[in-house]
Amino acid sequence: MSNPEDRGPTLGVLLHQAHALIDRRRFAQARQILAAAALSHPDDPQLLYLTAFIDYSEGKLDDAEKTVQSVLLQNPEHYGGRTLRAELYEARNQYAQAELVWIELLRSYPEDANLYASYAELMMRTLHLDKAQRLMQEGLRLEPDHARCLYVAALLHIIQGRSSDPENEHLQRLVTQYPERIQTLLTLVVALNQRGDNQGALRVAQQLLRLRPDSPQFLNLVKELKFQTHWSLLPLYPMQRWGWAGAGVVTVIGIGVVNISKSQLTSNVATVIGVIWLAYVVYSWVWPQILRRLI
Amino acid sequence: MMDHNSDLLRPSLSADHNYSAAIYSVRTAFLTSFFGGPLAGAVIALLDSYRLRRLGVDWPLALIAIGLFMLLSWLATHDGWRWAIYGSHVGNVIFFGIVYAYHRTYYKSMSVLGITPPNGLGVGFGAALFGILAEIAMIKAILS
Repeated sequence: MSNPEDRGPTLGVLLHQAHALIDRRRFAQARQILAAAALSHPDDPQLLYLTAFIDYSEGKLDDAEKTVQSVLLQNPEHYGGRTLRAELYEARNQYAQAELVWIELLRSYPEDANLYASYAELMMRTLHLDKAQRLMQEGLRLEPDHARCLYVAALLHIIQGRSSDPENEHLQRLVTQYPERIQTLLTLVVALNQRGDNQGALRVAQQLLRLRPDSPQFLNLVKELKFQTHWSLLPLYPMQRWGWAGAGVVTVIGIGVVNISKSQLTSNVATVIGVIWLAYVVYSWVWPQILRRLI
Repeated sequence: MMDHNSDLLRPSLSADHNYSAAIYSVRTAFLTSFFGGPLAGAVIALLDSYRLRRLGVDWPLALIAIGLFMLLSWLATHDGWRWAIYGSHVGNVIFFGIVYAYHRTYYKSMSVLGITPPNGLGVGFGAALFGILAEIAMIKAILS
């Protein structure tokens, strides 16, 4: 974002206040300040950009898009306007267009680690993991402690690593240097969940929800983890821990046991084993659906 | 450094490719392989490879699927219906395991990043039907 100080004291102060409120996600108050400032500076690109940013943060993508266009009409090189345009493309799943904007930005600011992190996130989201890795490495080369690059690095480590891997060094640095950041806590939830420590993940997710009580994303995260840690799902541990790979192994073992019992045991015992297996299969399909609705 | 950056700044996505960020879910891959057999599982896996532009790497899946399909069909005609019901499902699960190993990183990415997979119901059902019909045809051919 450009420096608000060079716009005269009144506008500068108002922009500072609006920035501070946006950082605390107090969007309604920030809007009031921006509206007041717009009375005297209706076409100021920074004012328009902050208004567009609030619209984007509140999911009003059409409004944000219109305002970003106004910003870029007045100043085609406006950094915030260009990054927000890329974010808007991503929000609409127009990934190819977003990529072009990130590339143009990187050509304008080749030393900007934040842009490498943003482009790496897009590559990760579109499953171009090798390129995401290289972009993240370039960002960390420019700024070794850049929070967003560390966030991408930690996620890539979780994606590409195995649960038996040594500790995630980037996540450790993220937790040590940026413990208060939402992205740090979110990455911690993902890491704990992937390691099978859903109780730990639930505790961190509850902390996230306390920080952002109005976030439907974090509310759903807590609900999902409460579901996964429910005692009645204990018999489904292999499926929860190893997903469909676990389901595959359980299926093979179940079919094997039923098959062997038919040839090796008495028909009564074999029937009991068959019924237990059938009940387990039905329970594994039906009960999680019911429990999810209950939670 | 210049070459390195120009490589990084070459676009990887194109708007005219009808590109989707996600591949079919693990559930779709598992159920299609389990009920439809290796050929059905391969259809889903190779569609995923196409979406990921990895057909050049993943093509051995097609050979593995055809080999396993032939083996399971042959065994079904030599070990009776019990094998057809139980053993073939074990083979199907093994094939799913191979597919999972190939695409594990991508499945994990989708899980970690919360990416929604495309609806695989129609494709999965069609692939499973194709796999079952192919298996019946092959068994008939072997028996005759």
